[in-house]
This record gives sequence, C-alpha cells and structure tokens, in this order.
Amino acid sequence: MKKRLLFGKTYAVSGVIEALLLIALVAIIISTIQLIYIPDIMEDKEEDHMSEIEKQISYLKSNIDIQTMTKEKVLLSSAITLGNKQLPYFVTMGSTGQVQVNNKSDVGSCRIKTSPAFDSSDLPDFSDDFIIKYDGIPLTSIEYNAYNNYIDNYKYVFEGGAIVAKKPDEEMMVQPSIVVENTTDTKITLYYSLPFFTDFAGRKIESSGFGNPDLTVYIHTNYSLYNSPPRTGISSLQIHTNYIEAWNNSLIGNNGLLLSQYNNDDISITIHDTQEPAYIEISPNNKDIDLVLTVSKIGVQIGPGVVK
Amino acid sequence: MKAIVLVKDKTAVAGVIEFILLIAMFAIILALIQVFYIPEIMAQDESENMEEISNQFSRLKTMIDIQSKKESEIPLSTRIPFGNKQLPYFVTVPSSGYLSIVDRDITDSYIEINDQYYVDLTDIKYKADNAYFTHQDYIYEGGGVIIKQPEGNPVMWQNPSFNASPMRDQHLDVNNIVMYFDIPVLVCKDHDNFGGGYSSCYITTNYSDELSDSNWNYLPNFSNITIKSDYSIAWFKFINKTFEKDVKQNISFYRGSDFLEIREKGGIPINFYYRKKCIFTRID
Repeated sequence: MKKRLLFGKTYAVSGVIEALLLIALVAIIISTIQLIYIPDIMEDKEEDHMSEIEKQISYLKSNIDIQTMTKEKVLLSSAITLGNKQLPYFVTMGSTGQVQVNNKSDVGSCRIKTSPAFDSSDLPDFSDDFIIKYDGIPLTSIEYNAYNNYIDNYKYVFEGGAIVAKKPDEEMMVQPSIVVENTTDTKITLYYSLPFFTDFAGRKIESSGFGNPDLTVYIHTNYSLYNSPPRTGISSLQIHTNYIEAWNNSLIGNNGLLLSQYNNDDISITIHDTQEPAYIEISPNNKDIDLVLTVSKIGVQIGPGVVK
Repeated sequence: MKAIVLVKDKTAVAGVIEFILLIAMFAIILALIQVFYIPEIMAQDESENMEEISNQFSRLKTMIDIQSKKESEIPLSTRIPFGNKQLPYFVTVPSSGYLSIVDRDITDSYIEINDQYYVDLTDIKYKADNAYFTHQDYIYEGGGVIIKQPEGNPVMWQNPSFNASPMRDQHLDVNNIVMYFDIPVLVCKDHDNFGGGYSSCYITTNYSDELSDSNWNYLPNFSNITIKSDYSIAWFKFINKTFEKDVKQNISFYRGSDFLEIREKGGIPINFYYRKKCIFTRID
C-alpha cells in the first residue's frame, strides 16, 4: 500500500512546527502564571490590603484618642478601604469588606462592670444610655470584617479603646488606653479612658460589593461629652468580651500593661470562661485598686453627613 | 574525516533551533530583570517605606506635642512599620528596622543651662536596615526629629519647640531677647524600650505630671546653654536657620563633635524660659 502524504512537499514545515511550539509555549506560560503566579500575587495583594486596614484602623484609634484627650467637638474622618480589586486580564476574585458600628444594643452582654457598680449619679450624662437599662457599661465597638479569597478572613475590632486583630488562629491587640500608677506601697491607680460609641440610623454599616470591591468609606467621629467618676477601693473590674485571649495578652502577656503588678501579686487577674461571653476580672490582692474611668461619648457615622 | 551526522532527517531543524534560541532569550530577559530591574523596584519599595516611617515619626512628634500641650494622661499610640516584604519568585532581600527608646535612665545626652540646670536629652531611635536603599536613622530628640544617613550630616527635619525672639523698644531697637524651650523627657517603665523585625509595632506615649514642670522655669540672667548630643550639627543648623538675625548677633556658638554651646555675647540681656515635660513611653 502506498503511504499517503499529508504534505506533498516538505518545504516550510519548520515554520509550522515553530508556530505550534510557540503557541504551546505561550499557553504553558499563561497557564503557569494563572495557576501558580496569580494566586501568589493575589495573596500578596490581600495581605497588603490587610496591612493597609491595620494602618487605617490605627489612625482611627489615634483620632478617637485625640478627641477624648482634647475634648474638642471637632469632626475627624478616618478612611477605610473595604476591599481589593481584581487583576485585569486574568481570572481572579476581588475581596470585599464590611465596616459597622456596634452600639449598646448590638453588643449583647459585652460590657465593663465594676464592683461596687456605677450608678446614675456617677455617670449622669449616660443615664439614658446604660445605667438603668443595662448592667454595666456596654463595650461598644467599630468592627471591620474582611472577606478574602486567597488568605484567611481577618477581623479588626476597635473596642474598649483597644484594637483587636482577629485571625482564625490568633487574636492580637493594640493596648487600650489604660495607665497604671503605683500610687503608694499599698495602692495602685488604674486610669482607663473608655470611648462609648453612639451611631446614627442608616449610617452605621457599609459594605463593598463585587461591583466596587475597593470602595473607600470615611468613618466620621465627633466627641460629645464625658463623665469621669473616680472609684476608690474597687473589689473588681470585669471586662466581658468576645476577644478574651486578646485582652488577656494585652494585660498580662509579654509586655502586658499589668504584668509587673500581676507578677508581684499586687493584683489578681482571672479569666472566667464558663459563661458566654467570657470575662476577665481584675481584683486587688496585696494592693488596693483605685479606678479613674473616663467614659467619653463619641458619635460615629459611616459616610457623609453631620455627626452630633 | 567524515563528519558525524546526529540528525539524519534535517526537515524542521531550523524551527527547533529557533525555539531553543527563544527560550535562551527568555532566560536572558529574566536574568536582566533580576540583575537590573528588581534592585530598582526594591529600592523604590524601601524608599516608600522610609517615607512612611518619616510620616509616622512626624505623627509621633505631633502626638507628643499635643499631649504636652494638653497635659493629658490619656495614652496615644503611633504605628511604626519596620520593613518591607520580598518580591515573590525573584531573589530579593527584605529590609528590617529596629526601634529603641533611650530614656532618662540610660541616656548620656543632656541640656545644661547656665552650667547649673540639667535636663536629660532623651531619644526614640529608628534604625532602618535597608538592603537596596540607603540606610537611614530617624531620631526623635528633644522635641525634634532628626534624619541621619551614612553619608552627609544629620539634619533636623522637624523642629523642636525651641525658639527665640528679639523684643524691641519704642525706637524698634532690640532691648532684650526671650528664649523658650519645651523639653520632653522620655521615661520607660519596665524597660519596654526595644523592638525590631519585619512587621510593625506601636509606640505608646502618655504625659505624666510626675516629673513635669507645670510652669515655665524663668532664668533672667541667661549666660549659656549646652546641648550635649551626638547630633550637635543638626541642632546647630536648626538654630542657625530658624533664629532671627537680631538674636544671632547677640549669641555665639561653640560646637564640638558631640556638643553645642550657645553663649550670650553680653550687652543685650537674654531671658530664658524652659519647661520639662515627662512623657511615659513604651513599645508595644
């Protein structure tokens, strides 16, 4: 049988083979980029975005700290970039995010309690807010949730004057505005500046969607008023929180705020995790505790408008 | 001698050779990117990181200024990034940074006024360990921010609260000079005074009236002030640049490698006011 020839002549065959090899090479390169390099780039991009968020939340904390310190009714704005864009030309998914204010009704049983308890006369400007209706001072917060596609979902929560960074396997905290003073040989004084957030209906939550993943919103904050009742000889200060590990590390972890007093047995710090939410209790041991708690009301609004 | 023929059928050999050459060219391009382009990108990254650190030191100074002014004990935190990341897939070296607080217990710098009144000169130092961009140190000292590079002299980038004004009589002649100096003194509790690595940290500061002067200390017979600092050249340039001509005509400078002395020339009296502000500082 005679062999059938596809090409009558073999001239220019090398060009065809070369073109096929080149196309195969380009296809391999693009597939490699798409399968290996692009996920790495997107992971990097999402990590960079989380760093940016950490920076922005730290600015928010600075702004609120300045407002509580100066007690000036000046509006300050802090930007939050909610998500992250897709890469052009390649198949990628942009990440999204959500920022919200958790007011006194949203935080459930998360609160600051003292014994003896504060009453309306201690915090007269907050009597409508929590003294009568709630047991303790609600631990209001500003919360950012990242919905990432290439790295773990992160959460940043600004509560009790501290920033909690929550990842699936760990909780970290930028320390709250607590100053400890060894007043005498038998007494320490805790100065605690606690921001209390109030929100505005319709302006308390903002999310980015797939249409505008990198939406940047502004959190406007304004100082309103404060009460600072001193308490001598408290028998306990309790912080009821969903982030007990972060608070514990912040107080008695490495470089903890109360680590030296705890190690010297001046005070006791106990975690009670049998109830939900768990709480951490600071109580006197060899030394008495005086507490100067300054509660500042901060109006928070996400997006444009007048903040009162 | 007869040549050995490896490929008997020479059909399409040119295409294969061209393909191999293309791969070689691709490898050469990658090598060129690694050798020339990647260092440029990394230097740019490190330069941006330095810019971020300079912004944060500026913010730190603002925070301490506000705390001193308001005399508020509420702590404020300032984030300091340490370094930047490597690039994926290419051979790169990450940069890192080290932060230290030289507080009043460990400093050997000081300010001495009239050879009699002594105030510790304390620092917050950031040392960048860059791999591609020039090494830079940022130093918060005496209320100012100084930048230091291996080449050249340190520069006072953010001025401290040290100023002098000539006071004039009705004929507009200078009849006395007033100088004001707000001096922050950093104090560390429990020696939380060092941090470093590749990520970030927070410097938390709060004012304390424990060691602070609530009022100005007034020295009507000012004769001299000595600033003992490793950055005396930065202090000299700052004073020389910011003090008015009428002030500079009535003072003389003596500068060594680690000190700067300002002495009155005699003639026009100088009224000197200074105030210590105690700032508790820690690295979280």
